[in-house]
Amino acid sequence: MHANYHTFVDMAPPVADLEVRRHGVEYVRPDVQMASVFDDGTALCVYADIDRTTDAMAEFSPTDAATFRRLYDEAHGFVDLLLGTLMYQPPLSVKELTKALATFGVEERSEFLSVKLRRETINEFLDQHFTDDRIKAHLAFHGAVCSYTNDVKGLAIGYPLLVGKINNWHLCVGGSHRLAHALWRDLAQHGGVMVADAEVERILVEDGRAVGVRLASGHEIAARKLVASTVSAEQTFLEFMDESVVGEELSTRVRNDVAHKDWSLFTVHLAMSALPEYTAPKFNPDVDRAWVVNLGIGSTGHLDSDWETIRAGSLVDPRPNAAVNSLYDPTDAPEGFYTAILRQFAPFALADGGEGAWERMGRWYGHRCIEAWRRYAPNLTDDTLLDWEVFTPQDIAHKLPNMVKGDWMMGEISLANMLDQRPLPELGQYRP
Amino acid sequence: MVIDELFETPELRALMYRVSVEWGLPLDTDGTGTDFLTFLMWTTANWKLVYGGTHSLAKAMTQACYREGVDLIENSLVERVIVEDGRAVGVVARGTEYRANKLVASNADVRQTLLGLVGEEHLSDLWVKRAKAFRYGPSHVLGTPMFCLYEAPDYSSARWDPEINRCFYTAVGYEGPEDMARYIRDAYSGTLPKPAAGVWVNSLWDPAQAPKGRHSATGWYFLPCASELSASEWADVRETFNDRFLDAWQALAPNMTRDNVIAHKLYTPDQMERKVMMREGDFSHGEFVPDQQGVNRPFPEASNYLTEIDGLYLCGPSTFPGGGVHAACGYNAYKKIAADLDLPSPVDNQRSY
Repeated sequence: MHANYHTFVDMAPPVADLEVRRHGVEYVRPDVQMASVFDDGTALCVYADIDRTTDAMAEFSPTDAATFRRLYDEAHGFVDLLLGTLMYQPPLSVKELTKALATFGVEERSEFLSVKLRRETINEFLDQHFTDDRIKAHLAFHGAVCSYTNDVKGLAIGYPLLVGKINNWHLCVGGSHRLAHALWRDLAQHGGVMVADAEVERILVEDGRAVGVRLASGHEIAARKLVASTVSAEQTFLEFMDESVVGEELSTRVRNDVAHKDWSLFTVHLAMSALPEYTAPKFNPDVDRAWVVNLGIGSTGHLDSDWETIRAGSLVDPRPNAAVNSLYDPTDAPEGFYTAILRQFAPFALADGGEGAWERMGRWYGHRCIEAWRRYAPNLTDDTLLDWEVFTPQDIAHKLPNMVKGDWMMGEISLANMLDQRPLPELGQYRP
Repeated sequence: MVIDELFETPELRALMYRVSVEWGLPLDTDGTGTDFLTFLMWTTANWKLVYGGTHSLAKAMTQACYREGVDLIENSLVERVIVEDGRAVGVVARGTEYRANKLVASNADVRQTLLGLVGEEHLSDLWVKRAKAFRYGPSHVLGTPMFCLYEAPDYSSARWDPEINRCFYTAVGYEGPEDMARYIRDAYSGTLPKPAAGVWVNSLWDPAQAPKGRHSATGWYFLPCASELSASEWADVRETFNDRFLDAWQALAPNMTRDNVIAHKLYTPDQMERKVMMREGDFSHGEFVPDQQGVNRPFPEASNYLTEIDGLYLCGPSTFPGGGVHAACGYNAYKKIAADLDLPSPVDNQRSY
């Protein structure tokens, strides 16, 4: 549904531990990873090959290209180490982290890392280091797609890590569900059982200990050792257990203080008989082979004003991004046909009519997103679009109740909601 | 004929006609009366719905396979069966060769398996002739509509019997047995029949199939074989047929207006052919006629699941007893395989998943 770009496949320990590749998962790393097409007819491509990326940026600004290269090289040097040690162990606090960075003298050795970043937005970071609007726009767009909103204070701290992975987007051949199937297969082959299509209704608690779950069907499953919940804090602590068990204080905190993203995703899924042919190839022909294309966000100001509109519950003039998976995965469509996904940043609830308004607005907005695509790829006429369906922020919340308010990151991405503060400080170490 | 002899009420006869056809017993074919009496009468009131949708069953079977150590390779179309010295020794799927330890079992239909995957050069003249003579459809060619609804249908006839609104499977749009027979004959002869269907409102029984307070319905239209209509004609059917059916539905259930339909979609035989390789859109992988049923399925020489290629078995619905959610084809094929290769009997090892 949304998990289209897999960035951590070559470093996440579970990928190796659970042997997902042995279980049939294949990844492709598209050579033209991403691109931005701009209103002035230019296009910027990010390649798997970072030299080519730097060259492409130099067409816009040689200084920015050189800065980008230094940033990438620096980030790339520590990103795997940092993510490997920080992300794959129970979280430290920002304070501990800052102390560690100071102890190792990271700041003195780094051009880009600074404790100040925790008070800055990605916009500020980009303004300090880059000059060209289009390069900044693309870099901010990359952050936004990773849920790092460019105008949120404090998120600059994670931004170098994102740059370190900017050319590491992988496509799961056959669709992301192949990965889910691999995890399932590993579980089952080790004696586990997945109970599919079974809604959990209750966590059974005896003498203050979780001892099992009850499904909506009434069926009870006893836990031999523990219950682990992958769903939201709201469902886990408010719906699956009574306040008398959870405690008034934690109940109130979960109810009032778990933070969610203030924007969601509106998606159009398309089946097509032609690949997009952008008007920008005169500038850079590789744009036609880019996996994911930002359609027209030409400055960080563009994005900023979109966020403002979206946070007010309104729809922006669409500037979606288009991913054409079948460029790199021939199994995704029959021969001669293609699939695509348009994604538009959008509010969960509309100021006029709440989230329910999506039911009448969805198709209309989908049309508008397609029109926006067509402005940059005029060959995508109605004749080439065989069929399309929209998936609205409301659909996200309906289909996946744990994505509260269409929050596809299952929790706000902000400094206050990171590391050991996520989802709440009292739940930050994976158990209350 | 048996139906007409046993029952006189036109409504009941119409319903029995429909049920017969759904189970692959064409109304005009000699010999189907026996099947009706021995088979249909006791299965009629035994219809069940899988919670979460029929894919839950597929998932359970997948999990059973995983737990037995089976590997499923997804997204990989089998291109050919490797035959060496008259024996099936593996397959090539999406460019990768997989060697078989013991055997190859194919659930593709007999024609696709023998003529498409094995190749005529490995077959005797008789088997080539038999495979070429095997016919698809029209007995099990369906169009499947899906409707997302605000309200479940509220039939006018609920005044007569309120239970109709809670009925699992409802035939909609047939005026009587003659009408039903004409509908089926139209579909079988390659003509688009008038819009009428058997419908299920699954959400009445399984809340997981629609958001709270909403409903979902599906159904069966009998439609002509995929090759009877052109691609543009099928596109037109997808555009218009549900709408036309809604007129018929609304005539019987007045709340089934366009406003009550949040979204709808029709899945047509040509799409089934492409997506799951059911030739002609025939879900039984082969016509239900006496010379392709029972011991004649798919043809007499192949009716015990083993082909003339050593180590190559058939286990899909082109074998006895045909299409349907009963798992009998695979189960029977395994019995034959177990007997041939001295493997455990399927009943020795009872586990639940």
